[in-house]
Amino acid sequence: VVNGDSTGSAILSVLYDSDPMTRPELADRTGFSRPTVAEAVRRLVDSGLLSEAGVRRGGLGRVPTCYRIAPTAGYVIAVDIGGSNLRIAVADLTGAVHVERRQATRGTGARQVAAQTARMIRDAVRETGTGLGPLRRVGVAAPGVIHADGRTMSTAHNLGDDGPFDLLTPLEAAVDAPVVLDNNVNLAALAERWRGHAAGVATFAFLAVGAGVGMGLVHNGDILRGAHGAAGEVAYLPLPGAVPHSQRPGHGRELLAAEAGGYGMLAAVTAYPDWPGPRPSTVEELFSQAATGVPAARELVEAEAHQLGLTIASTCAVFDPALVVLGGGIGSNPVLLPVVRRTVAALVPFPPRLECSALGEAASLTGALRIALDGAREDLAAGLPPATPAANAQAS
Amino acid sequence: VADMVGPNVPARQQLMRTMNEQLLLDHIRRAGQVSRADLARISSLSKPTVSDVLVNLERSGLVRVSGTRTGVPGPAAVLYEIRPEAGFVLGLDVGRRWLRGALGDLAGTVRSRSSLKVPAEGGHSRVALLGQLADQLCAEVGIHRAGITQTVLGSPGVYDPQRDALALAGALASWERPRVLTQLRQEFGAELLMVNDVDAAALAERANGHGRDVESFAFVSVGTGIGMGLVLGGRLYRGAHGAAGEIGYLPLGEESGDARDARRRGTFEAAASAAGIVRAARRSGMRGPVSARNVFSAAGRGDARAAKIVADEALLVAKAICAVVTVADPDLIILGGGIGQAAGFLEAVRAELRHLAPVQPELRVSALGPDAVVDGCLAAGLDRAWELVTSTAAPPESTGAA
Repeated sequence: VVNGDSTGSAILSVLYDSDPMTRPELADRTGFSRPTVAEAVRRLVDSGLLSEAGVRRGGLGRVPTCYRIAPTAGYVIAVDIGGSNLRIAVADLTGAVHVERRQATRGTGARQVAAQTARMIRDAVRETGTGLGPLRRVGVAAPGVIHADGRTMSTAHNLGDDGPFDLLTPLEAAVDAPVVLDNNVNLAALAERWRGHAAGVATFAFLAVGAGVGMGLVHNGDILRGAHGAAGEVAYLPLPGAVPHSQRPGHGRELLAAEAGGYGMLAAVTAYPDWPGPRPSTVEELFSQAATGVPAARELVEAEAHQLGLTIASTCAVFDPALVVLGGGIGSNPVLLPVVRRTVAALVPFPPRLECSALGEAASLTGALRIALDGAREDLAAGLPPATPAANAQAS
Repeated sequence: VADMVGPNVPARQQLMRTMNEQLLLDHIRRAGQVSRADLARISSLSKPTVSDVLVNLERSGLVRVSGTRTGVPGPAAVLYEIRPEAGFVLGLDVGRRWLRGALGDLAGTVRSRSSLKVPAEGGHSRVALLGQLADQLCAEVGIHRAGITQTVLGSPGVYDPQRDALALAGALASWERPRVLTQLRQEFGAELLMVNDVDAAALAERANGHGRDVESFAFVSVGTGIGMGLVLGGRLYRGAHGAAGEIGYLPLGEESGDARDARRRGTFEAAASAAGIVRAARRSGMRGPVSARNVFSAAGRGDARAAKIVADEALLVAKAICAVVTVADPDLIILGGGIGQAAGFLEAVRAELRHLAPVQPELRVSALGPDAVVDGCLAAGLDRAWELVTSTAAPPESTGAA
């Protein structure tokens, strides 16, 4: 027994990612007969999901009508909750972005950030108005570990919150549509597979380097989450770090976590004796001093690249990916790549391809958009009314 | 599950089986022993159809009568089972000093098992010795080599398709020459299946050991060499180049290893394998014939220098496990190998891991003995042999399964 309208959902899934098509073209693409397609198109137009996209010029004979996803078929919202910025995007069901906004993250702690995020979502709904139809799904990229319940977040270090915190409830309260959450690094990895370097790659890793480091591992399209949700928590790799082993008071988790990424780099700047000239106070300043040839800055940037090389080599020894994409504010900087490549090649027998993210700062937001679209489209396909025998009879 | 070495050779000449035959074979295998009436019920085929199919399967030697069911009302029902001799799997394990092997039947029963020591004087081809071992195992069971349905060879290293040779074979460096693979194919046929030896041990853990009931686990072997077999979602995970689990290459213990050895077989392996322990013992001033084994036993007797070396080793292995946890986060870690299975070692590793890892996996010592690799090869080969014996396309005139 087929639930809903299989012809209708096949037509929708073709048109989400293609230019407008005529009914005969849709019949060719979906494999359904022309009368069945014609009838399904009529139903989809009636329910407001498809609209005519005008007629194609230049042909002889009858001018065929093209169809597309109706501009008012509905929309999704994607949100990326970051330690310094909140990003939001409004997109129609084809994935075309109509509104994009960004705000500095205010306050600390998950509770305040969740409230700010909810306000931002409500503002986006208001700004979108009725022009795109109904809101169908919200996808959220969150900075901590998302529990198996899909609601709870913990160890969101860059929100200054160890949690656990129910992030879903305040966001659900803000809108009249389902909300879905995932970890921001996992979503960046999915985005890279959708619109970046990992398209068609079965086994790859996305290494996000910002304030801290995290990794999303993907095998055959699925995110590897691990038995305790800790897969890819590479901040805890026990690497020989910027802090020499003998000087550590213990093997504390916090110290290990602080080594790679922006926090670790700034800590190394502070600890550096006799910095030549003004000491950088941000990672951007550190990188620009390295670019102008300040030896201390170059040394620390190289040390970071080496550290990332060790992280990737460790990943290779366990997971053996075909590709590692470096992303995040620091990781997507191509200046790091040569040293990263050299470090990995010296350590492992089958080095992966290494690339800087094609999506840059938008990676997690793009991944949030992807899961929002997937959810919205699934809901639509499942909710289509089944083709009635009467309707089929009319078509034939 | 494992490397198919060489081109995908079509299965040997075999009888075409109908869909109905295949369906009933699967039911019989799952049930163990089953009556005709039971089969008709489970398969939804009519009793006459089941009878016809059973006659064919019995005639072709795939199924046999195993007895009758008594003690229930009514006439005693005849029970059928898979004829164990319908297929044989040869599992072989190539080590530096030992070659081991076993021959199992299609029911999964090991019918013969043997091992032989590689003569120290050299000059003996391991491939030829493996051939001798296979002959001996077949003779014990009373079959010819041609009666083997599937051979699986557990070996150090991974298959490198670009060279069509093994790579990363560690202490068995000569095994990486391309002609070794050519000779192996001549000896055992082109359908020979190669599995990394630590991966094979992980498969044995999944089939008969601690890995039976968990979704994901890592079998971490620490001994003369170091390696890991990773099972994710119940399946062996091999990675993009077949090098997943080559944890000898983790960048750990650089300060305590030998730089040349580290380049050859990986930083962590150079530091934490038996050779690394011997080097640490020499550095600490231990004299005489030092081996990893006697460092561990000296530590057990309370020798402070040896105890320090063992404690350092535990920290290093805990760091490697922490790396596995932070990347793949399996439910369970099974420690194996001569060092991994040493008394008290797991507890020392666990104490260190507590400080290192963000989450704690379950830790267990492997309960499998020296035959683990062979048994893993048999497990990998059994599924394959079952496919070869039973799976074939239905002939065109077949009426299908129902």
